Amino acid sequence: MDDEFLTRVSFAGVPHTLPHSSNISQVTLYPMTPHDVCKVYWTLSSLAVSYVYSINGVSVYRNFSATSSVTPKNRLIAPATFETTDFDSQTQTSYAMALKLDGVYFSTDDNSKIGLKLIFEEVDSFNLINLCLWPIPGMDNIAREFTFLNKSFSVYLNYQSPSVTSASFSSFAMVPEFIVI
Amino acid sequence: MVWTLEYDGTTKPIASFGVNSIKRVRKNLLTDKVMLHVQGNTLSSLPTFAANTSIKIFNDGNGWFDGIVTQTPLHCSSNSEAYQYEVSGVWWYLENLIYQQAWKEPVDPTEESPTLYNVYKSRVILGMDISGEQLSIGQQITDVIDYAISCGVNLEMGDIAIPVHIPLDECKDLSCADIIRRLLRWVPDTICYIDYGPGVPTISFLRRSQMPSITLNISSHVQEFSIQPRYDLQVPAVVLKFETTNSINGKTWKESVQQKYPESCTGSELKALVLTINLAGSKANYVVQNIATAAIETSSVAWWKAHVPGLTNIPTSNISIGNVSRSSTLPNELISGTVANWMNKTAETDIVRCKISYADANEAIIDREVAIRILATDATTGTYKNLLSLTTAESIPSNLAEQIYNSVNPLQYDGTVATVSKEISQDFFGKTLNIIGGQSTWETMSAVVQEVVEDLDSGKIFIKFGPAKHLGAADLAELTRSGRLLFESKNHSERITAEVSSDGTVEQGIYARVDNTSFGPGKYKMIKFADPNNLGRSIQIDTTDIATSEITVKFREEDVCESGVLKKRYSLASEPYSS
Repeated sequence: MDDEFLTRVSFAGVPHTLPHSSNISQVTLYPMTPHDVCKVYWTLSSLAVSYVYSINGVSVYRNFSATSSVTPKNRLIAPATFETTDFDSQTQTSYAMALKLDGVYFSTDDNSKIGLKLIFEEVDSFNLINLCLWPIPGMDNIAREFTFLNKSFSVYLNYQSPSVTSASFSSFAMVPEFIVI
Repeated sequence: MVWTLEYDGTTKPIASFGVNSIKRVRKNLLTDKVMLHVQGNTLSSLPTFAANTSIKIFNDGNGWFDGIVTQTPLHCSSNSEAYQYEVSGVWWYLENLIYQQAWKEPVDPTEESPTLYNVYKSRVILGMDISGEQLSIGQQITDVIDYAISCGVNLEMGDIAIPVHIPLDECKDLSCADIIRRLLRWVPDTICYIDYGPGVPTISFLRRSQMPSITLNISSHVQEFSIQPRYDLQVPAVVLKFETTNSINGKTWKESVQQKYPESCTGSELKALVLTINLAGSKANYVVQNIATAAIETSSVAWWKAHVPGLTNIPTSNISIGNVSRSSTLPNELISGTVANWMNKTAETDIVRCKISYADANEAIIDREVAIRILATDATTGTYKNLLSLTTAESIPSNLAEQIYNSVNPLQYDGTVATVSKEISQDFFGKTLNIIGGQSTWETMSAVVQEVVEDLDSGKIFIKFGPAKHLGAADLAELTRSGRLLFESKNHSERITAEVSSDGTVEQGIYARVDNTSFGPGKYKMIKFADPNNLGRSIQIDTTDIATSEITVKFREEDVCESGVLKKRYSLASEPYSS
């Protein structure tokens, strides 16, 4: 349980001062509605993420929970950063990822839909792997669908041939948990 | 004396027509008749005088009778056969001709003021001509005779001097003779006398006092007579009670006027003639409009408070008025009622403008332009009337009671006289009779001769004199019938004007008071809210606090997050402006 709060926000439901992110390793949760964005920004407490992909004959299983201890009121100053805990992988990975809610993405074709960036950083021996909401031109893209806040999204596994000789993207799931007020 | 007869264009001695007996019967206000007795072998022969043919009889070349053959009965017995022709005088035409009067009717009743033309109707109103002027009995009888003459009756009007006015009498489908008898009920001492002496029969109407008198000596030619003074018919007083029912806009009331003669009578005397006579009352229809006006006082704060509802609760001392202007110059404004064209008053819409500054009960200072619309007029408070229709009351006949009294009060003598002589040389009809050789009162009795029967063969004359029984002068009960049979005329106005009904349209007022129910948009300079229990705790919105010109502070929508839920709310804010 957390305290009730009331604050002026932008039309997207996030602080007026929130800057845009330009990190290339991102999942943009477009097309969330302003109400979805508002809920995720201010009350998301953790995000359980799991996905499975295979690259160059090696299967990678990711299953972790990203949490934040930043209370809603403190998110008026800056977005919460979600750190992974209980990292669990069947593959050898030196460093898994960090996840950050960061800013608002404005659609150019429909201003009523708002995106929110989830930044993944994955660094291991099988580098040049990205997860992204849209396919990246010039790279090989493998898409998987997932559901978030009752909406269907697509996430893409991007890799660079010929370094990657074989790849598959078998599953992706992201389950949010919200602060109860 | 030479008696000749004109028949079928031929004038010959009467005897040459086979006539061996002539009798003339003349009765007041009835048809004069001559009976011609033609004896001989008539059983198989046609009548000497055909029915509906004209016969004239002359005495020494002077006209003695002029009439139409109305009956040709044949009498037969074992020793004789004879035709007893009945020839009726000119009154017969009056008995058989329905009197008609001209009435006005519209050519086109849909027109507002239609052209009228005359239509002859057998519904008649006695005592009034087509222009509405009253007619005396003499004038009305003259009109009846003129009508008969216009219809072809061979008659001329002689003397008539009966300047007695009567109540309007409406009746229908009566012959000319009935009309004359009806009129003469009011003056029953009148005799109708037809003089056949001139070429055309002349009809005269003479009252008792106007008739020449003739004196008869009972010792000369009188075979028999009877005579009695009619004290029982003398009327000591005549009282006429005229009743009228008037109406204005449907409200009716009765009026009664009493006329009596002699003036000292009361009407309660025994044998007094008391008649109730209904007269047509006046009828009027007005449209009435009450209006109230008040002076237009644009400099008065009270006047503006009365016109601008929003100022009602503002203390007068807090209000100031300036920059007044008007679109009209008329002095008053209409408060209630309407102004119609028929009032001959001017009314027009007046836009009155001013600038009002005031502080209301909440200390809000308001400065605004006010324009109100009123109806300006030069009319003043009062009741205005417009006459839509008027039918004047029937006027009361003047001196009618006196005229009746003079007709029925003098002592009348009732009786008969039969004379016989070699020749019938005296004409008793149309005269008053005095008798000498008897009682002294008979010598001046002036008895009105009502009937004369003359038998030329025997030289006998039978005279009946006295009051005119057929006119109701015989007793009081009959006299009062004059009043009982008379009802007020309902249609006398229609005869004159045709009384084309209007379509019910009453011109309404076209200008009515204009109410100013809306104050219009307000322009508050300052509004102050205060806790009545603690006046030091207050909210004040004062436009003068906004230093920047052309700036508006108003409610504006903004986004908020309430406990993680995106919502909206309104905030009082201005638009951005340069600092």
